[in-house]
Amino acid sequence: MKTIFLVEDDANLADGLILNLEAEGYQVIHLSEGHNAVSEFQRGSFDLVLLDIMLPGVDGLTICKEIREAGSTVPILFITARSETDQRIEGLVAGGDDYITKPFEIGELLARIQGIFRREAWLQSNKKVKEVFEFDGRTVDFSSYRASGPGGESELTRKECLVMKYLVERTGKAVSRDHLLDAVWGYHTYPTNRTIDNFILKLRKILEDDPKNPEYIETVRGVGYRFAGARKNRKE
Amino acid sequence: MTKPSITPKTALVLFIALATAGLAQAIWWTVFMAGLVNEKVQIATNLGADEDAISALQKQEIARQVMVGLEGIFFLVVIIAGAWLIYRALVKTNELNYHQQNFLMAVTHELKTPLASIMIYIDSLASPKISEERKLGILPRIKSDAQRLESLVEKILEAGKFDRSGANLHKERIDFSKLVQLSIERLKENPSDRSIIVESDIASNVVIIGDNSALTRTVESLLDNAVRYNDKKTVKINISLQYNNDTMQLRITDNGIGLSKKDQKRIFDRFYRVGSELRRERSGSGLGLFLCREIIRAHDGTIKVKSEGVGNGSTFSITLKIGN
Repeated sequence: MKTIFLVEDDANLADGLILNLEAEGYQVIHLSEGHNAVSEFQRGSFDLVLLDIMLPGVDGLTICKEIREAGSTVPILFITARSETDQRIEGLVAGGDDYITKPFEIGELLARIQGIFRREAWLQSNKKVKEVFEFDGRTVDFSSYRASGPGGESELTRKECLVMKYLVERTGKAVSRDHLLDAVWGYHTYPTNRTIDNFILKLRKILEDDPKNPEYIETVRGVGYRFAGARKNRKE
Repeated sequence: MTKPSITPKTALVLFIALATAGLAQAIWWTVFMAGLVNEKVQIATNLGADEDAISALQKQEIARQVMVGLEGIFFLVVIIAGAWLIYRALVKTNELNYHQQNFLMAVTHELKTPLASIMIYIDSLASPKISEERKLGILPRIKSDAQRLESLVEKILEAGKFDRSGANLHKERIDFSKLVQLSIERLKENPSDRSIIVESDIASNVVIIGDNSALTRTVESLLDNAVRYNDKKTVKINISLQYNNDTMQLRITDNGIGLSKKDQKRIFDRFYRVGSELRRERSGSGLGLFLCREIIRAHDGTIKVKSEGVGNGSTFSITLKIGN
């Protein structure tokens, strides 16, 4: 049974969410303020965090940042009344995985939660790509979210891991930015698909000899990106 | 949040630069003019002028330079005062902008949260996965969310009404003692997870000319705040209504979170909310106390707050004329 950590200060809304999440078979642990959210989170073992942004004591963005700084990669879904684009980006930059704006239909929230769990399962599956993917002396560990290469060893966010995995699974094939967004975010949470470029930059920095002239994660003009694969496997 | 093109920080830097330039110029002119007097006296001495003529020239030059200096200082003071006033205005605009944004966030949250809750509960009623037994508890929740929405919408409309057409009150002879007693009873009836101890000393038969409904909202709003802005397990509220020949005073004292000196000054301002909305400790829109003040003002009365500081509770007092 998946366990969800819900941080929401409005009692009625929280009870409504718990009612539906439990009916879907999830276990829900609820906290109604922000003060102890990080310590409560660390005490438990959760598969997802549902986080309101406007909270008593400590706001949701700070909680999300602290959870990430503590090294956790658990998916975080923001629930909030704020809907302006820059505020949505703020949530995602803080380390959130998705964002739902009040008011919403419970079906939409459940679909997003299922989407997050589906992507999580895909990231952890090693049918097509091994858990630790190695090529030309470089490694990407999809279970511990770490990568190493000429640019050194670095931690990856879940999104960076998902982007890499999606490209690796399609080695040699061009992947459009739209497809990457759909696969990694599930929804068009970001206002522009160009934001994916920042994730590519980070991956190139770690994995490429010369990130300005990439050999592995190539740019396909007008389309998106392609992972070229290990040198010995490339078709000349 | 949109940032103004000139921030108070920029204005302060410009102001300091202007004041420094003005001061440097004043020092330079003083040194330059003092040198000029000496120079003129030296020329007169070289031309063979007698001591009286040189002394007269010296006095004349000093008087002229004092006049020029005073004019310079006057203009300098005007420029610096002007720059200071612009800086102050910018700081105030910035503060207003912050509180408006904070208000907008508060209202967005206050409107959208019960709406989200209502939508979820309606979906739940139609869900086959939720048992009939659990569905029974849903309707009272929908009702309480709808009431929250109604109360907020009423406040926003009322605040708008004060702007457009003034108070528009229906004044009549009312028994204020009874009004306060009824408000206290309603407070006691409200379900609460905390223990609320109310001590009251209400003078009977205090009659005023006023709008019963608006004054009831005011008193209930103050009582509600006494409970809501209180972190203690046991909420203590002391209510007293006293009168003399021509005025009455209602005092509501609580053991709540109290207010800083700064917040006491601004608490009745429209949109004003203590603290940032991102870390909202309590629900609210920033309109409640503004409406209380407008209603009391429309009755030619006064409303004040006194607090010994954060953590030390507050006393709200309303003074109104007694009517015959």
